[in-house]
Amino acid sequence: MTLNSVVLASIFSIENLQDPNTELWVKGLFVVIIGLIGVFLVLFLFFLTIVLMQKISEAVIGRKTKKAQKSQV
Amino acid sequence: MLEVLKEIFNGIVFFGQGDNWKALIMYVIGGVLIYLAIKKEYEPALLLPIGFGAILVNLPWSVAGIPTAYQLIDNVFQMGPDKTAASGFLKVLFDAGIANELFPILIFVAIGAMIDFTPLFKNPYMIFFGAAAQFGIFATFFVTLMLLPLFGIVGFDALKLASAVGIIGAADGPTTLFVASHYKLITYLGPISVAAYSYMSLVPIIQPPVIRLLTSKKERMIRMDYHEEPVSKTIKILFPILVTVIAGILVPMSVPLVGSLMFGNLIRECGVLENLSQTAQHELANIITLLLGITIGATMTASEFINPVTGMILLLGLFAFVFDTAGGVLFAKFLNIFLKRKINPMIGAAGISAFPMSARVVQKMAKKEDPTNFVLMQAISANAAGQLGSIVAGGLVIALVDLLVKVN
Repeated sequence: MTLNSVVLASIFSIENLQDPNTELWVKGLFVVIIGLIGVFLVLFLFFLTIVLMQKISEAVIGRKTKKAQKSQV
Repeated sequence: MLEVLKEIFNGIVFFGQGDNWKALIMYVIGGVLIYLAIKKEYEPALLLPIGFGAILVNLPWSVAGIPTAYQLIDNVFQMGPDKTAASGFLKVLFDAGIANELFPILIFVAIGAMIDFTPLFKNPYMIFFGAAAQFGIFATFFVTLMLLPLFGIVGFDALKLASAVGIIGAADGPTTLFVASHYKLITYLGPISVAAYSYMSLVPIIQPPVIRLLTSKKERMIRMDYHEEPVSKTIKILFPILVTVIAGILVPMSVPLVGSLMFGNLIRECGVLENLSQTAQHELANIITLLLGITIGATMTASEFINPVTGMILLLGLFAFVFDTAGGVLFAKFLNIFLKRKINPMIGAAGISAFPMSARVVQKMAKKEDPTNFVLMQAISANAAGQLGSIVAGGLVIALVDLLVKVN
């Protein structure tokens, strides 16, 4: 089950949205709301990925520097 | 004798039949696109082939085209070289690259190889502008959805067309094409592509008035710090892999777009495939652009292009660009309410996918207000984020609309 489906199931009734008789604006609003939230959420995860990678990279570099300093001493 | 003359001059006879005079309008439209490409240099790599393709496909008895106005007219023409449209080389290209969404995907490999995400790694928070600037996509999607019933397009057809029209606002031609191809919107592929690519080249004209309208001089003069920190090669290599995995798990529909973009980027950053990286950036990009342009042009048959929906698509495409820009700027202004160190709100406008044009526009405007203000690197970061934001938005729109359409 994708994140889309999870969020969607909790807010809207899928059956209702898939019903051809449901007003077009309701379907549109659903795509707009979930779409915008989704874009922010996915990019937030990309943001976390970058930050996390930078932290790990800094830690590794720091450890290497310490090792080098120790071996010099 | 009359039959022989008719056979020889069937091109002239063609224009006398039904509304084939519309083909003449398409020659003018094709000519205008070629003029804009050559004289104004508006996305010449695409507008020129599109313009020529539009002329080519509207020629009587063209052996090149995809569809063909004259297949639809009376029987006299039906019996003509019917080896025509069905076997035309553009039809072959269409089936090989547009109908199956291959060309936009290959373009993404090339774009991925061209993008340097380093500025984004240095300003990771800029990624949120890449999300905010997708507001125009969703606003246009909704407005289009409300307008389409006026043109007799309702139900799931309206949802599909509104998705493709909204994505024009991503300022990302390949994503727009991908969405339009995904929904088999062959009839509207021409106007959608023309809108996407021509507005993309008009970013320096469209964005400044919107930015000026939404910001004060004081805001445009805000200075921003930029920290020059080294980015390790490991991060550059891991980023495309992790992004693909995350996008693949969360929004599977975006995998073709994100995956191909990140594949291209991995080739660039790995450091051991310089030849492939160069090939993707130049030869692959050029070949696909060339084929893509002329094939799109060949979908612009008079009978399908000249209608009120085309006008609406072109107008709403512009609307999408304006709202994307506004969305980014207003998001930055919103953040400024909470931030101690203010962000120059113009940076938000660079969150669209027109890379690096939008960032340059922002820098130019900042420099105009204060010649010593330098916000290019922040703007480039937001612009790179816009590349990610637009493909994620494209994938999400497809996923959500598919979900609504699925059962029916």
